[in-house]
Amino acid sequence: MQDDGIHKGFGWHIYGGYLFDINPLLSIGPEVGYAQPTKNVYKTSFDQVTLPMTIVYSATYLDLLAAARIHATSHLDIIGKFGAASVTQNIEMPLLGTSTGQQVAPELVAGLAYNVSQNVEVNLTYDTILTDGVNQSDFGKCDKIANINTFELGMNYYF
Amino acid sequence: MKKFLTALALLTAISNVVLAADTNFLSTLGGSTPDPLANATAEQVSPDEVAVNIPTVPNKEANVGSLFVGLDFKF
Repeated sequence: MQDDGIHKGFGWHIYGGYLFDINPLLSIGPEVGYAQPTKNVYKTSFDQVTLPMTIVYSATYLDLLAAARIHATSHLDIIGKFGAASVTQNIEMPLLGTSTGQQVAPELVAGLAYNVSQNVEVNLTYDTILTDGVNQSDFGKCDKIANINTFELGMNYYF
Repeated sequence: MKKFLTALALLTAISNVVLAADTNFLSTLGGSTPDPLANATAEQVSPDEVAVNIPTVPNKEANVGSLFVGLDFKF
């Protein structure tokens, strides 16, 4: 079996929360969000079957995190988050239709944020959701929830 | 001219009486603002102490925290 993963555009993540200022160097608080990672399209062909197949993977997740920020400088924050994500996965396969699976899995986030102004910051983070995972041998098995590992680039607004 | 001066003196006297009555009335109600420095001597109130008593606007560090929203692109 051969597969060619093709990423289609960008995914997105919208979230909000509250940060308590523990001291001038540290803020912590809860965060809730909803995301749709990048949709993947796999074009596959099996050795035994000459007909090529297109498999479309998509997922959404709702997450609840504990967020911590270390104010390294007046403009730079170090971000760390951990919590849980409820992942809903959809796999569309020709002839077999759409298969949906769901799993609650741990989520870890790490990154940096730069304060553009008192209310606006830009941030770059790496986000990983540790599901059961899918190995190469599991390809096409729709009951397995794939890991979600993404970089995120965006901005926060503080009220 | 004599009538004018007489009228002016009369108005001044009346206004003084009204002001005095007003001050007494407010004092009775507690509505007047007592002058904190009225009974102060040079030893009791220094410029530093006056500065300390000036109300200040809380800054960002004094806040409990911040509500925030965010939007990220995933790639």
